[in-house]
Amino acid sequence: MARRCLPWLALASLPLAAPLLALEPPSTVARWAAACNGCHGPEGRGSGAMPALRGQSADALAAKLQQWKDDPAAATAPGHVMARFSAILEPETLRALADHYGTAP
Amino acid sequence: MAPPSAASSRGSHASVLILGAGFAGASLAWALKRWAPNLAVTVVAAPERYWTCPFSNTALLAPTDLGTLEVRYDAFSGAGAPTLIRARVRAVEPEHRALILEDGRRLTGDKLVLAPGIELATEAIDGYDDAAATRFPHAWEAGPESLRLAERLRAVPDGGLVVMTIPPNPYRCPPGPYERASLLAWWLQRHRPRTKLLLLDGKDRFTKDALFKAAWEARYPNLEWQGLSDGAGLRRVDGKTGLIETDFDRFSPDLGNVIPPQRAPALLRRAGLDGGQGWCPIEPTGFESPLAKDVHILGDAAIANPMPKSAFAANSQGKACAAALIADLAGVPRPDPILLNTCYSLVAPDAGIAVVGSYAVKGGRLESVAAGSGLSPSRSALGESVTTVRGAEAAHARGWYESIRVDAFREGGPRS
Repeated sequence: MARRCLPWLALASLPLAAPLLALEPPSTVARWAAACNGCHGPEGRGSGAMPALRGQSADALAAKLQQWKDDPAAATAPGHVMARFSAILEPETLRALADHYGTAP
Repeated sequence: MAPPSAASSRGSHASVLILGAGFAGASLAWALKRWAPNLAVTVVAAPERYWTCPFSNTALLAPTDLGTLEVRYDAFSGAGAPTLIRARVRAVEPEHRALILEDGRRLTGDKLVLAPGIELATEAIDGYDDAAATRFPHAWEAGPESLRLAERLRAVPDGGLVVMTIPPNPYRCPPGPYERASLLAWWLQRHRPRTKLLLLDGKDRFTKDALFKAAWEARYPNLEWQGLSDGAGLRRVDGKTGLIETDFDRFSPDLGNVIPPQRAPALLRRAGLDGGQGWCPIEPTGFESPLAKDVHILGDAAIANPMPKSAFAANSQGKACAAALIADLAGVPRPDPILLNTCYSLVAPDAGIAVVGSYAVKGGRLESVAAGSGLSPSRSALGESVTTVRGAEAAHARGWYESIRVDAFREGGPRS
């Protein structure tokens, strides 16, 4: 009996996070990327007229999002959609998303 | 010995049971498998064939394109896919997080998510019966109905009258009737140039109304819109004589497209999940029903104002709910949901407009974020560039459709 309990005791002594590692809410960037992929194709690889995000330079992506954020009125259709979404991106999320899709300089 | 607590049955061995494999249910299922691959995810969907409502208005112009809108669910049989059960559901038992299938099977999950779409409330229209349903095809659920409406359109004589009746809010796809009207007017202009299209609307304002009306004024002298204040509220229909009666007038059109009011499906209402309101209330961080713990309601059936009942919103809600469910099952706080919407509408096959919305939870309620919301620029603001810009937005609408299909169902159209 004591023997059978041993593996469980060992498990229980692991940090509490261990058994839950498989079940962890997605990060903010992962959740935003899931939103981006809805229009920009699987993993942001583009979909028809919807431009590919993956493969652009990370700095160029960040600059474009920042430009929309700074001056939404300058965006004409169809860019007005992205101007709206850029407006609600936190600066650190904006940069992390650009890094998620973009290539290193 | 005490029974296992909810928490001990959870963690990575937890299960999520989903009713509905439309944009909300399918998006949720795939997001769960992506973010929590060990989670047992089962989706129950009706055995009938399914065509997407987005882009079904263009199938009225080119009925052979309807096939490109069908979802075949082939990806659901692959490794790492959610389990799909094609079956009718007889009852929902919210207190047990259970679905009772028509064949008697009883399925449960640690979480139950209901995303069943809409039901047409045809009895809300006086005189609406089987004859009326045949005479005035609604085509508000895409598929054979779309083909019936397309066929009937082609039988309209030149110099005839086409009438659309549009329900009061809320209903599936708020701009859908106006996109349909635009495309019908475009088709009539080319094939029945002396035929008039009359819109009888059960409200005075509608989404993107200024943009639609400007497009109609510029393009479609054959289209007339009447709102509730004009007496256009629908009173009665007669399927035998073909009569459509409003508060002020009566019409005998060559084709009537009567779009009935809608509500959450009976399965949910019978389970008390609509609280007697016709649509189901939710709290916005995880779309959980305030009436049933661990039961979540997504998509058109939910009251998610100010989010519209759109495919984009349903997809966004599916992903937000996935993150919330994983947090609940892991026993950690839910993240702030990312909830977005864009409704593209075609005002002609090569001209699109869009409304954009972003939403946040404030004081337990869902609110629009002003900076994250807006409309396509107006014709007057665009001047001569209107054709180019509307054309680009129509191309984006098609790009969005191809993308959201893959995102929600992991399958493209036959063309992709």
